[in-house]
Amino acid sequence: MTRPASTLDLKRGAPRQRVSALLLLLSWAGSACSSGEIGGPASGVADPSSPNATDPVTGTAVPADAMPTAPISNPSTTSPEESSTAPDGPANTDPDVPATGTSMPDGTVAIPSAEPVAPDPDGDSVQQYQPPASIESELGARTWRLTQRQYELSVQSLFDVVPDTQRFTADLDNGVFVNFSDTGFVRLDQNNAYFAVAQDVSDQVSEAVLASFGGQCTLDAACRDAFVSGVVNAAFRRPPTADELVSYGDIFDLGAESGDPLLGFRSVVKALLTSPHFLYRTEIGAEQDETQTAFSLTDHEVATLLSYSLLGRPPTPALSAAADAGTLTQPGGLADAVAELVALPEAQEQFQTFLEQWLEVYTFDSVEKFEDTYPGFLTQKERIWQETADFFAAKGSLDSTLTALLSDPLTPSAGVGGADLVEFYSSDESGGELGTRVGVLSLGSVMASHAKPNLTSPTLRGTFVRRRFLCQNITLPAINIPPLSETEDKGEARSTRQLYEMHAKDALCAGCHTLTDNIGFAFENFDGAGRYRTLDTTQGDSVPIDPVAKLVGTDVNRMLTGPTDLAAALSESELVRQCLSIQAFRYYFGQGESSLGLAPIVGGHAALQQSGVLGDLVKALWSTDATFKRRRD
Amino acid sequence: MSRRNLMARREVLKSALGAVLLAPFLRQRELHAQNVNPKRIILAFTPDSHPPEWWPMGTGTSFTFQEPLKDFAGLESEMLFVRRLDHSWTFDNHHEAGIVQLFTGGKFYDDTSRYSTHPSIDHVLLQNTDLRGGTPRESVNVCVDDGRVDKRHIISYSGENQPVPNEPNPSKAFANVFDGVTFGDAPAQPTEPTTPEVDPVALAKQKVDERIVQVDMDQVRYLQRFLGQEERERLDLHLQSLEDLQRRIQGTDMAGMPGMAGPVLVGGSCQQVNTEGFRDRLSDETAITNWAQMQSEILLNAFTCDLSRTGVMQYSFSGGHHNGLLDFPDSWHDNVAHVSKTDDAVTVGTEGMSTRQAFGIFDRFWSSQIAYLAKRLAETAEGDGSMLDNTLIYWGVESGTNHSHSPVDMQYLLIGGRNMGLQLGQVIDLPDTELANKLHVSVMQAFGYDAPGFGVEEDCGALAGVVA
Repeated sequence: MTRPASTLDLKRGAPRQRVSALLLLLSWAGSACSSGEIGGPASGVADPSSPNATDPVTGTAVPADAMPTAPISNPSTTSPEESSTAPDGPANTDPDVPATGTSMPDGTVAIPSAEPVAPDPDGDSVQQYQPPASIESELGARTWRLTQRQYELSVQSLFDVVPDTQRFTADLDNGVFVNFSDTGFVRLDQNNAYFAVAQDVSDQVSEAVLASFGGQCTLDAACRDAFVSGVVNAAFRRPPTADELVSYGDIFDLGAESGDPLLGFRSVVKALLTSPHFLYRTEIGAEQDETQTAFSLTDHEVATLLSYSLLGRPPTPALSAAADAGTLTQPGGLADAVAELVALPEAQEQFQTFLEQWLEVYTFDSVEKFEDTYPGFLTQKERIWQETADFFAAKGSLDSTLTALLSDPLTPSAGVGGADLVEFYSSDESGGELGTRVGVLSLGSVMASHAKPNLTSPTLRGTFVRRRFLCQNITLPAINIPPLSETEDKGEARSTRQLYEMHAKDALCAGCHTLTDNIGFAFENFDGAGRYRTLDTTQGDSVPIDPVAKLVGTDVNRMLTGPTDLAAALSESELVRQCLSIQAFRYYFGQGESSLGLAPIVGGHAALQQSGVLGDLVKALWSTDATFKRRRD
Repeated sequence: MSRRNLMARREVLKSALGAVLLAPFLRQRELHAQNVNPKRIILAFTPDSHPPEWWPMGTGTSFTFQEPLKDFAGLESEMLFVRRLDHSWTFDNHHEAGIVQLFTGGKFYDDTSRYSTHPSIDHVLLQNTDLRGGTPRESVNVCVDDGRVDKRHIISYSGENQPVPNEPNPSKAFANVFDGVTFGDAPAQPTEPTTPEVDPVALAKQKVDERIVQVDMDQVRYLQRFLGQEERERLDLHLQSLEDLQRRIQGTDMAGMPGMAGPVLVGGSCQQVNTEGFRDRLSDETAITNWAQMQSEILLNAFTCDLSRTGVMQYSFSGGHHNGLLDFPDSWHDNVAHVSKTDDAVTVGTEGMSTRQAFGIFDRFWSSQIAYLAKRLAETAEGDGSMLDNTLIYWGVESGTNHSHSPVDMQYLLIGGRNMGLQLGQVIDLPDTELANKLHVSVMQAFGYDAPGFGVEEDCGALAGVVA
């Protein structure tokens, strides 16, 4: 049997910017889990590869007793090469993957693989928070294509026309957040759509709007230069270069040759809406810094970065003025601008989008349930979503706190349909009431999104909490996973919990399911549609719900008796605060973190430690030099 | 077996499951004989692997289909099976590892997105051969799924971490693929340029568009100066799309379009495709069948008028559940495919059966969609043969035989491509396990690209017996 090897890419400026790690490096433990049969994605690796494993980021040793015995890892510590072999499958033929830990030719470090050890389903493994070492910013030069929504708002803001973007290609979903810059491609269909929309908008833009770009000039040849300068400045979110004025002047002239006095103006509008300088946010710095490895973004680039990230739209006039004045890269100027932006209502909207993606409910619209199992779910979906939006507005506001977001009581909206939703949540015969609901983890949208169409899923729910609240990836084992029947007799299970517990009794599965299901069991009072129940009838019997669970592998291990306990534990966890800062960094910066020591992550975490206020997290995220300092490969 | 079975319309109508809306699609496409046979490739995917019965009974040139492939009856001579192929690596339950390396031979770009480190074979060929042949579109990527664009929904990659999404909506796909196309029944013929009436506005717009594209290209190149390699490569895609657009604006890519000059090698006229009645219901077999046939017709039509020579036809996605499909209330993935080794009994519709039998029904449903596409290609005459002779449908799934959650005994099937030298009409039962990437190398050889390896196996070589 070939032993799996792990490699970590530790090179600075490595071409792949991976989502980075928690402090612990955990490797193969020989435990495995069947994921799809009953629980969906889960399972595992784990156990330190040596008595003292090494933190891939800080290089510091991590005591073995600080590590869970089950397979937790974080995206960036788990390289693809970890999975390069199939013990019972074909031999590893990848010449880049050694069987044992050695330095790799390309500078990566291979971690020696561990001997398989028995998983520890009853273990009290603790994962303590350890502050990362701060590092210099190494965010790279890049372009960042506008998302479909950002494009729409930009066009509307510029030309007061609502573009029809139905033909746009869907923004790619990389599984972290949908706005990552490295998945913003422009292929033929998308470019055709850009040109088609540009034509439509240029045809529709009013003469008054056109005239406004030239200082309310009369739309004739005399307005050409003023118009071109004004409209390019607005579209590119920065002053035009001399070359650009020539190019767009030429386009104006080509249109004007038609004899249609307006075609010159409209042609420039069309051209700008297809321009890379409009379609991308750039983080390339000033032209004179082209050969500099370390460089600073221009103030206008900073303004654009801040505005789209914080507000989801082009820079406000005040922000553009600050960029013109060159204050955004000056001491104090950046923090002031960020504070002003965070106070705007659009910043709240943007934060709610973050919450939707972080909590993986942005696809709630596509969640389906069996009507005979959960009657009324379909008709209540809109109200469930409204409940989510209402809770985000109240407890997920930038003025609110992480504790409130996780732990404040949740009651269905008193607004339209609120009574119906209460009735739905209480409609399970055994429940008959709302049950105790606290924080985002009790939202119907969250419960339903992390469950099966006709069943709960302790594994899906537990994995979700590990991944999104603790930044712990449950790394699946590189082995051939047997079907359910080979690991257990599911016919003996009388409840969902029993079904999962039987599954986890198998040594192959226990390592992971101990981690995931022990969180998921705490939610068992809420069925697959988020209704309260006290009896589980899904396996044919009526079995009282047992929501007792044992939280392990965190810095706040404890026994849980339901989601309230879990919310309280997560509210106290330093790992959760750090993880929320990581998630916010990923979302707002549109990229994975190369290190936990990045200034925005450290700053965001510190803000949550100090005040716990969500707006402070966002402000801290953007108020460091990492907002404008970059490196060029 | 006969060498070829060009099917009559009536046979196709009878053979396709629930062939609603089929009649409007069935047009005879007589393509004119050309000196050059175009080479085409379609990457195809169906969900949840196949049961063991998917493999034919028999080996060599003597074999018969079992339940899952019954709808391919008559096409035996156009198909090539290779047994004992393994993926070179695996991870967890192989779902994501399987789909990412299915046609790329690569690994995960990272452990989160799990997109591929390598381009898929269609793009390798586009980049290294004349597969595109001057056609306006690099490829036509369509699908029958829920429209998500994550790791489980992508089989085509243009490069490292460059997933190529598929279009699920037939109306939108048609609008994109046939944008600016003139439809008609007359076969395309290169014509002498004529002197159009001078419309100053149209002329000015044409000049503006040409200039816009040029300015945009200059700006992309400018941005690339400041960026690292990965970022530059991403912008290369933008640049390429501008080049495609430029050719279209200049009228130099109008292959197959009446009255337009262009690099016409093959081609009939482009036809409208009826996309009315499209319903994106993944639990409704009639809706799926109609949907799949619409997408097939779009792809076929694009080939017919030579808008592209590369396609992706993705049916569902890795781990698709399809609760309710074929009157089965539970998840096909969880309750059938995953447990098809068990003695569990399930009820499909009103009929009780084993999970293995049920898996066969489920698999036949998806296989029939591929069969429809294959038969439509086979019935479309091209040169002195059929369009299928010049087109390889390269079909794969995400896991080893019987949804094994493993990389072992992967099920690839080559359909068509006789004119490329593929040794069709046989089941090759390899004496020893071989890497699936070797099959990709052989396929590339058929397309005229002699590469030493594929994906992570840079020197794996080819399989014997696949290409003449």
